[in-house]
Amino acid sequence: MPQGKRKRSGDRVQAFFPDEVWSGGKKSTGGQPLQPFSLSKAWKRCGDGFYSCQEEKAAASSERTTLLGKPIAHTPVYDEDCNDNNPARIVWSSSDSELSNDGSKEFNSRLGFASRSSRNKGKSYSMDLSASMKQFNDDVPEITGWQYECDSEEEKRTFSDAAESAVEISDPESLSSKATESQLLKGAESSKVMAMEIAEYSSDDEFDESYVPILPSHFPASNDGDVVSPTAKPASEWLKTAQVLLQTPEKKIDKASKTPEDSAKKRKRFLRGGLAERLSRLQNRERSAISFWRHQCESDCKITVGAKSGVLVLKIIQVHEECAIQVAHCTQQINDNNKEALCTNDSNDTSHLIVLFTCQTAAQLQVRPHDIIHIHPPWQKLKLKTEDKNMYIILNTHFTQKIIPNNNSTNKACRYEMVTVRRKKLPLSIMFKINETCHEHEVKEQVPHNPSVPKPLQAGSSQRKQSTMYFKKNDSLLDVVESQGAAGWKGACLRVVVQRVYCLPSKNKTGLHNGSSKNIPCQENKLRSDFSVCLLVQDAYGMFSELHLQAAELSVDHIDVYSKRWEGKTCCLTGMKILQRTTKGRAPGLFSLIDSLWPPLVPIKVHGQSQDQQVQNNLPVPSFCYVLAVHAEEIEDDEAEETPDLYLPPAVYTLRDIHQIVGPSQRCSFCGTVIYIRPEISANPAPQQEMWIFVTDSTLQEGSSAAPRTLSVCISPSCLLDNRVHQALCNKSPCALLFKDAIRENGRVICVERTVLSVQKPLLSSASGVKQVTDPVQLDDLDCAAQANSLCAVQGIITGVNEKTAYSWPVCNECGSNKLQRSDEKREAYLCSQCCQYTSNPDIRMQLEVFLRCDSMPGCTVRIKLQQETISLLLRLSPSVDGCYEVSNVLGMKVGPLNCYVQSASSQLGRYVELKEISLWKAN
Amino acid sequence: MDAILPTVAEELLREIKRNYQETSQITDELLLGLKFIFGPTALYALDLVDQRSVSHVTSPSGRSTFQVVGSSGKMYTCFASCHYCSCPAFSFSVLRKNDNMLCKHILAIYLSQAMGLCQELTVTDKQMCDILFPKED
Amino acid sequence: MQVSSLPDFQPISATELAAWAKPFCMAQTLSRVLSELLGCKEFHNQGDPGTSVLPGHVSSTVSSVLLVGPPGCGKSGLLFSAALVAAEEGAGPVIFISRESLQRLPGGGREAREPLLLKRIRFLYPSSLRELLHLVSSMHLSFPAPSLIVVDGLERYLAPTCGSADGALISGLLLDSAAHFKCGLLISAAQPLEMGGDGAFLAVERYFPAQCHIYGEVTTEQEEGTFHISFPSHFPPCVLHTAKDGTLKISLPKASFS
Repeated sequence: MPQGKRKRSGDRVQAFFPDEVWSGGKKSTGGQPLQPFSLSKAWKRCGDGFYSCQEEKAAASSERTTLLGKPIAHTPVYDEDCNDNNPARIVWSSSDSELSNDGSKEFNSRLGFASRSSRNKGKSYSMDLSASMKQFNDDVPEITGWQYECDSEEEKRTFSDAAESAVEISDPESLSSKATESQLLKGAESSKVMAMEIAEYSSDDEFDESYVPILPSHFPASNDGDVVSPTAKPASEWLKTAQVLLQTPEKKIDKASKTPEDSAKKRKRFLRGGLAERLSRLQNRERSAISFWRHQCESDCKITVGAKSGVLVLKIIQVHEECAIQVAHCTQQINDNNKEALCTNDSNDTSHLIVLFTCQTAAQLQVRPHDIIHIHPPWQKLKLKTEDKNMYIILNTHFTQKIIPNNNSTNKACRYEMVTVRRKKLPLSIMFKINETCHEHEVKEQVPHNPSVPKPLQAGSSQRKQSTMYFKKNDSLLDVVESQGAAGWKGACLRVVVQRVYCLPSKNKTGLHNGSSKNIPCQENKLRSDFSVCLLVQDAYGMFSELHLQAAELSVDHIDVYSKRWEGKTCCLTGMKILQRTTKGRAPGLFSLIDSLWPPLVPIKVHGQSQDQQVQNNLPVPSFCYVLAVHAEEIEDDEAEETPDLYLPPAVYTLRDIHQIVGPSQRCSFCGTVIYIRPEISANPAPQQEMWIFVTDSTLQEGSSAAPRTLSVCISPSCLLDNRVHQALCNKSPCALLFKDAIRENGRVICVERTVLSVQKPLLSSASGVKQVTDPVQLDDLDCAAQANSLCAVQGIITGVNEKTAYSWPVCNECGSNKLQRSDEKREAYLCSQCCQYTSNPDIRMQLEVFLRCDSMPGCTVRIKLQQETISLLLRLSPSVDGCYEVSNVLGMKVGPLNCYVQSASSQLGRYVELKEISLWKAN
Repeated sequence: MDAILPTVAEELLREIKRNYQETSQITDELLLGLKFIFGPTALYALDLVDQRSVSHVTSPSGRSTFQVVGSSGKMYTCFASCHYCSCPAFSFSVLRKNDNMLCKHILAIYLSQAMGLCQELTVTDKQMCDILFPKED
Repeated sequence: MQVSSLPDFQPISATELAAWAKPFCMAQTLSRVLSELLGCKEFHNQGDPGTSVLPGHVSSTVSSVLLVGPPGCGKSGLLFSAALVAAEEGAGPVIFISRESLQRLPGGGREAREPLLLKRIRFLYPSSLRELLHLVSSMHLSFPAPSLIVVDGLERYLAPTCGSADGALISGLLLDSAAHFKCGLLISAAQPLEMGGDGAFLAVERYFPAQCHIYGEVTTEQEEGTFHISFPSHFPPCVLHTAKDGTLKISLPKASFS
């Protein structure tokens, strides 16, 4: 609901009714017909405060109640008795008189009401607002309402405090009896100044140049009467505020130009990469150019016009003002020197122009009719097409100079003439229609050639969007990004080398980012909208950037295709949008990948150095990286041959090297044969979750026993498995996978974002020198160093059986399902509800967990969940009675070596290892 | 002579819309032109646009209005058929002092419309009454 | 433009009036009312009907008119006549809003011809600004699409304490309602007498660039109840006579003009 934030208003301004909403003049005065009722509530509350502060006679308090009931907030109390006097005096004289008369009622004297009541006894104040309301300057609610329309919290506080104090200063109750009349008047004036500043600041933040003092008539309280505002603040606080206020008025006046600027500095920053930030940057540049220009104007009034093109020479015909913009109708003076013709094609009256000036420029120029002005570039021209003629409007006329004719007499005459500029009021009933596109209008900027104009503006010449884009090949990402602005641009070509291609989960989709909510679509080529294709590129200066490709036809299933297409190639980017600039601290994953690509293979260019001699030792790794969004059509192949080959292909390690060479948190690539995965995935689509893949290769299998025989690889949900990989993993047969840019951590390898898995043909792995893994794959023996999520081989003697989990159940012979029901008709027969077959001798499946004592791990309890085959083997020799077996029959039996998956391994005293017997994948 | 500034402003906004539709961005010149015509209001309006503060509120009856979240978090209502905003800046700077053509919220509405960044919101007719004229107690 | 000297009143046929009918263009309607009262049919084509004079395309059919004049100059009567015109020719009802009910219906003219027309005018009397705002802001809820919205005596809702924001709000809401219904809007207001209390009125004026001013000139020659009407670019200046019984007559000023 709009404007419902009463809390805010209530908190900030104590001078007004706590339950009144002060969101602006509209609310306050719109609610005025109801004001008496709400006023009375607030009044009563404030009256309570009064009561508590003093001991008063009942008569006085009842008078006060009556007085308080009078709705006088937001309107100056206009006492008829003091009609002719200076309204400011009303309050003070009465309080002074009270002081002199009644010293005992000290607090009473502060209340102008009480004093008034003592003089106007018996006067009844009606509750009807319209009847008792006197005319007042409706600036009052405006200025107070202004407190909220500020642009930052700090400003609000500053000005609301100031305004609040301004109100209080004129409030007779807010001052102690010790305040003298002169002090109070001074305070009123100071608050007047503050009110001026408040009002002035709100309309224009360029305080230094546009500071136009408001006429005193605008200030309400000190002229028409006192704004009495009930407040529940105790008197001592008022005194403090009043004293502070009285001390600060001079300072406020001095700091008039500083306060808004200080607040401006404290103003909240604009959104990075947003339009406001861009405009403020442009504005700052423009301001410095303007101040430079003004200095130049002051020092050297005569800037020759003739040689410079782009300068408009105009003669003013008529000037008027509209909404802080001065509109000047001019004719163009075309003389021989100035060959600048504004418009060539139109035969209409093109020499008649309308020039707009900001109030600052206008104040500086003080143009009058018949003046000649020179407008130096850069300026803008806007063409308005009307039914009958075209009008040209000149904008951005900051660099304008008035040419003072040499004739002194004319000058004198002009000097005495008051510049009265007519102000027009613009109608508000008209909305701009921005949807019609039938008119062609152009905004062209005049490219400046004036060398006196500072460089940044010169470089800012626009390129019309219809003009052909100038493809100047640029090598430096930094240059392009930092000169073109955050919102993107078109028109240059940036040459980069694609180092890596991968998929990233996109964060702006509505899907949550935990593993369970991601969907892997089934086999059809559906776009997985949770991921987007990304390229890591590097420019000739070694700067990296991550490009997020935006194209509807890109499917993350074809990541290997894209890799082949782009990885290692040199491309030209013709357009981009900056998403963010990230650093090492914020994106460790990205920077671990960048670290793996550093130092570069070939010498890179360095900014500011000549390109021949490069000292490439110890070049620091880039500490920041731009993340850009690029459309797929903005990437083009670059056929230029002279680009150095910066591409650093991934170094494929053997698994033994992974264990021995690769350090922690390093990105590495390797090829491995998958022998087991956990959990076992099915071909049906399932939400992607964390998965463990166990790989091995010949280097591990045939290596010494010092190195582990397998490598556990954890696949996090953020690492995308494409369809081929998924299918290969569903087959449950050993396959060779290439893991690109996985991270080594804690003796394992994890695949996270930016890691790419791809299926490798067996030939490839042999080509890299690694022999194919031969069956059977050997696992490490279980030892004390076993970690969870690893594979091992175990053998030992059964020392116990977990009877709680030991059970058996029948399964159907045909289909293997366990949905068997006892048949009613045939005894001892079962009906399988899955395949509807009768079976009298169903297979029995068993689950058994035993405890082992292993020689390799003395003092350690090993619990292993056995597979069916092993169980059958164990129990083969044991007699069964009705399907029950004696535990003692299996105790002491030796089992192993069994291939197991370590489910958990606690490292506390009394070590406990939980295993599950598995079958490693075997080739079909 | 009649006022030319509304026409100029309208044309500038149209140009911005055209530019944005073709290139998905606003050129520097247009931004400076905005600043020139509208003054500091342009900067604040762009900030509001960056923050996607503008909502276009429609009701089943077809009546529509705009709501803008101001920089203080306060919600202001602006009308779709004429220049009106419930913020104090409008009543002060536009109505009384005639210093600005628009307040920053109205300009933000125009810019959001030009760039297609208005959030759409649908309310009931009853709620629309409350938005247009909020009830106070 | 050419002005021929005409007698004071001349009846016009209804068909001729209908030929110029543009029910949704308030300036037209008012012009028609005025011309009807004038009794002359030649004056409705002043300028370019329905377009403002702003250059370029910041133009709109002038569908809202503000009638400003001192109290008692017959604004209510003019408004009522316009309401009757719209009730007859418009597609929907007419909403007539006033602070107090009309003391008497301005007599003569159309109203006598068709009493059924009155049924198509809905008279509403909100008693406070707040009620008026509530009424206008919920118009899309409560009314079928009217063909004309008339507010008589807007100044009576704007107490001197109202600021420009209030004036802006009510004007904006009225314009918004009229835009929503795509109907005409006709407002009358008396200029506030006190100089300090006209903030709201100034704001209202900003919202209605098409204004018809009625002002009195107290000279010894003219009788009481005579006012001048100035409706630039829609109607030539003329003189309005109000009779005691509320009937209105319009005549051209005696002096010739171009």
